[in-house]
Amino acid sequence: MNTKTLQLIGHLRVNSREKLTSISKKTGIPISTLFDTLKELQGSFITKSTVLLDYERLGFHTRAHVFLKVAQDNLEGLGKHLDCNKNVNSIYKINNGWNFVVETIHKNNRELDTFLSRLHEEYGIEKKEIHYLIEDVKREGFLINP
Amino acid sequence: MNEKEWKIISHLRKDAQCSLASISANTNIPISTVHDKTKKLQKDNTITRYTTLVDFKRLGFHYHTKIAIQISHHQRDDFLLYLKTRNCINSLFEVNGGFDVMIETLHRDIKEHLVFMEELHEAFEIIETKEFQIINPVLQESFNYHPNIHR
Repeated sequence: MNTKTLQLIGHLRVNSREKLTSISKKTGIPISTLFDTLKELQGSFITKSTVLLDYERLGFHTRAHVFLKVAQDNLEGLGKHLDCNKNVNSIYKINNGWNFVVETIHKNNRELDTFLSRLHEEYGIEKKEIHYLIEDVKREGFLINP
Repeated sequence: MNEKEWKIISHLRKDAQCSLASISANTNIPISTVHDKTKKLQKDNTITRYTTLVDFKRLGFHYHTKIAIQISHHQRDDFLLYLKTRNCINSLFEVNGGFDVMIETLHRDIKEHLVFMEELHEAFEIIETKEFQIINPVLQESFNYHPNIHR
């Protein structure tokens, strides 16, 4: 991964709608190089372009990182369930005695409780740990200053 | 948040690089309205940023973790400031449930990660940490529904 590619990625991480002409001016990289590099990156190194939201403003006041451990037999089913659940923002497979960490977004604690109760009933969660997110201090900050 | 605004957000969540013309065509919202609503959502900080998600492993960053940290109370503000400026940190949240912060870190290998953790312990009075190594992301930034908006 060369410096020019990392610079392009850095700019797109800061603002994925920034025009290549603007990035070219700031970096001194020819626009044709940026265009070709971007084409190579899309679909491989770049997985998605999205907007980050203030969920509190949208009425979602309960966000959490939920760590889950489930019996091996239920692992696939739980994974599929979480993948389709509307209140799940992100899922990561993890180790160190756990299976998943899930970022959940709900309107209130009651909705989160209902979500977790259902998981327990259907998939027999062996252990869970909840960390409620009070404030986003930094989000998607890696590589913005390569 | 009205239905039009949510439709626009929904499209941008799936692809933040899509053109306003494309959003207009897919939602039947006039392009001028899409433009104005998008500007409003940015101005009032409902949309905080447009960003690109990348495959960190493919870029050579093989050691990916989430770490819950409990810090000595009087160092909390300095600790947050310190973490905000660390390049290896992808996300940083203030949390409760016995810990103060949850960070997501990325390093090329475990050696770099251990150096980072050692620096952290040397600089601050860390009371407790809990580390979870991420094997792979399954889903990222996928939340895209509003229960009050009927589509």
